[in-house]
Amino acid sequence: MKDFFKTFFGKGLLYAAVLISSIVLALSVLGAVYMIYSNYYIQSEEYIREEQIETMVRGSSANAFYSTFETMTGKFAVNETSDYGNFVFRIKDADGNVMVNSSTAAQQYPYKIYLTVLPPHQGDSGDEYTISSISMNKSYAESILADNYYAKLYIVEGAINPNLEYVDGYRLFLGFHHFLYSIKISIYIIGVLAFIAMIVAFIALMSVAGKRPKKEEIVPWYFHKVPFDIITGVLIFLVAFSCMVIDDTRNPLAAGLSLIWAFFVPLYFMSFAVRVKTHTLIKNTVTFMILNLLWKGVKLVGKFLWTVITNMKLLWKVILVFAGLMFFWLISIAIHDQSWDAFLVLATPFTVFPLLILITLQINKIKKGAQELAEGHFDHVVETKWMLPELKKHAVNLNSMAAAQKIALEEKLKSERMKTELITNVSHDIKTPLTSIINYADLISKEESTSEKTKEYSEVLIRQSVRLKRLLEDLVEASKASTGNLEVDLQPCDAQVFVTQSAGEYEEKFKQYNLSLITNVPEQSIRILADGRRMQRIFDNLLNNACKYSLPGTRVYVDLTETDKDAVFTFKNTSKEQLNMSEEELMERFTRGDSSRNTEGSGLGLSIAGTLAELQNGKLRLTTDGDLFKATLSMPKIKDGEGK
Amino acid sequence: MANILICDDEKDIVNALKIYLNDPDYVLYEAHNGKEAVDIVRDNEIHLVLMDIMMPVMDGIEAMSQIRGFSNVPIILLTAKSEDADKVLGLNVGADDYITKPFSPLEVCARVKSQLRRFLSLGAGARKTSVVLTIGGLELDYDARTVTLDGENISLTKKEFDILKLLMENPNRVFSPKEIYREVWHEDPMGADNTVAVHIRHLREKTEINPAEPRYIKVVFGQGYKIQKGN
Repeated sequence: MKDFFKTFFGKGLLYAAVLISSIVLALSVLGAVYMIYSNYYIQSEEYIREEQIETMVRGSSANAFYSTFETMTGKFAVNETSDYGNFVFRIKDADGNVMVNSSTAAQQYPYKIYLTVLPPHQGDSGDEYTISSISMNKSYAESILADNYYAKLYIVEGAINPNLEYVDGYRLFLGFHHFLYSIKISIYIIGVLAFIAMIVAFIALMSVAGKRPKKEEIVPWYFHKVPFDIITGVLIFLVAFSCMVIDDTRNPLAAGLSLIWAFFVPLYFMSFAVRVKTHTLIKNTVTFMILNLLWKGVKLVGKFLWTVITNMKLLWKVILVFAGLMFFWLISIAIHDQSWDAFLVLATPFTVFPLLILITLQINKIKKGAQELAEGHFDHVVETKWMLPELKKHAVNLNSMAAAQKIALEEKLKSERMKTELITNVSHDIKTPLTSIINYADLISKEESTSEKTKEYSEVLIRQSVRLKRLLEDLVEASKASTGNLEVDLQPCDAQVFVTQSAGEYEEKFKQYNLSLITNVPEQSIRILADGRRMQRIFDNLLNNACKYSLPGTRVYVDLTETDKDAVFTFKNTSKEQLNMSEEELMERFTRGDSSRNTEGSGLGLSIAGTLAELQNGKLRLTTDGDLFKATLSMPKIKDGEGK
Repeated sequence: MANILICDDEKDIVNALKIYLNDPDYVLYEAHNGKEAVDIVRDNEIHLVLMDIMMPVMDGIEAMSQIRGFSNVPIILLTAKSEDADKVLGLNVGADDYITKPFSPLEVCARVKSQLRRFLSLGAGARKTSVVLTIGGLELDYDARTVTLDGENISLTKKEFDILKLLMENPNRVFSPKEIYREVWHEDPMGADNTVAVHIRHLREKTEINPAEPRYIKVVFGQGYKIQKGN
């Protein structure tokens, strides 16, 4: 069904439906309007018919008089009665003599008109008879007779042949009148139905426009490829033309012919629909093509100019701007027009100053960006959105520098982290076999059958394995501390407590090594910000070192003093070996008091202690004086009111 | 009789532990990953689990949280992971003790004994009549002025008892050495006095299996001492 309407025939049907329904609609509207104006809804059918027939008959009566009265002679000449169709009449003079009778049949003549005729030289027409007045009113004609002695009265009596033998205006009118009156209500229903039919057919026509049976895509007909504004123009011209023709001519045929365009209005809408469907409504117009061409030209020129400007050196751009300004000034001198001068005087500050301010602001922005970069804030990005092209280049370069630095920094941190992770994982993996080594060495030493020598050897195994374990732990700790992978939780602490606590813990151990520990702590308390666990590690490392490397029988001193800013812990001991290395060397990783590396320890102890001190904003310094080894740990004090 | 499950993916370590724990009072079970461990604990009456963390199939942390779903058997974690964060994680998930590898065999035996004693005596529902302060396996009897650790009497000096009482009455509170001195000696300390530090060390040697890794009396370096209650 749908496909049927897509065929040429189907479309034709729809097209015809649109046309017919719109004609019916137009006629019903016209009819309704006519009937309203002609009182169809107020008067009875007969009354209206009488009224109209009377008008028509009077007109016909006058015509009949003109056609039968010969103005040259003042006599009446009778034509063929058939010429008058269903109209019958007779002409009488003032005395009631019948001058002309168009019908032989006897009948009633209900309509009368009165004419007065003047003889030659008495009226306007020189030597011919003149018809001086026509009226429906007998008294009016008699008043003319009274005024003019020469005037003669004629009466035309008209009627309609009741048989209506001829097909003429009367018969048509009577039929039309009857028909119209009979549909005076239903005409509205007809109008509404016609309107609905027109809308439905119109929508259907629009939807099938451009479609072909069994095809999804739109196939525009050649007509739909003609630029739309041309078609529109032609249509508007035709409408205007027909308006002109109707206005000028009385010829209904010419007027009718000039309305032929109306039959093509649906086609126009179809074309509109097809163009909307193929998205060519605007594109396929001459106007659009011309504008498009113009736009392309402008773009080409603009592109060319842009290329020239962007490839120009900054210096040349400045020169160009100056040349332009000079040119305007020269013109102003040449024109020497006051208003132009005023314009230039005003225009210069209003354009140059904002530009200068803009440039200054943007240079400031770039300066700030460079400053941030210099201070190592690589997160700062210079906003380049509204920058002038030359400055923008600079800003973009700054931004990419910052980005590159940031990436490098992140990479470095990442690789440090990975290094620490690797060391941690390796140390875990080493600890498992180490456990077995220690356990089985211990088992060997406990076996009853083992000899003393084997026992001794297995103890060496255990000792060295335990050392290996500590080495691993130190390695992990050192790597973490040096990459900043260690959390530091700074709390307010009492500096004296560090000394008394560690003295208590190490008292026994110092006794074992035949050393005595002397502590000197001031009476009043010194508050410092420190992470207890990290501090414990520093004290452990320093005091263990003192145990391992001190000459037996000597004293080890731990003193606490304070300076303006710091609490200073001093660890002093006498080395049993000669200290033949510098302070810097001592702090390095894997350095130990003895080069032979035979004693326990990893050589990481001092290095770890130093890094941990730095993580807590403190500092560890080593000094040697002969065999005296001195470690000074300074930790920042809490100022009054801080850290509470 | 106590049933002990040893779980480690390293067979040599399992064997070594079996040798150390070779005692007529113990029945030993062994497992080589977390899943086996969970199954064995579910199917048998186990009184103690010794378990590694890093194992194939199911790791120790996961296995422990599953076991905790149905059993409150004491679990000692035995692992190479020695970071503080690892210890905190292990104890939080439900471990009763944490021993880092490489471990000393004597320490393992002592800790196993301690946990078993505590678990089995608690299981027996033995209750003291006198007023008693309890933190973990530590019990302090006010009237008898005695202290027991996992049910075993430990002998303390008067000052040590007073210090322990002070700490146990205020668990988790940090006492500075000066405060402890004032509370226990009832006089002001004179200058740099490490008396308290020495007493605490002695106390720790008596109450802890490994004084370097104390379970109860903790040193808060730079501030003082406290008793840890709970994890």
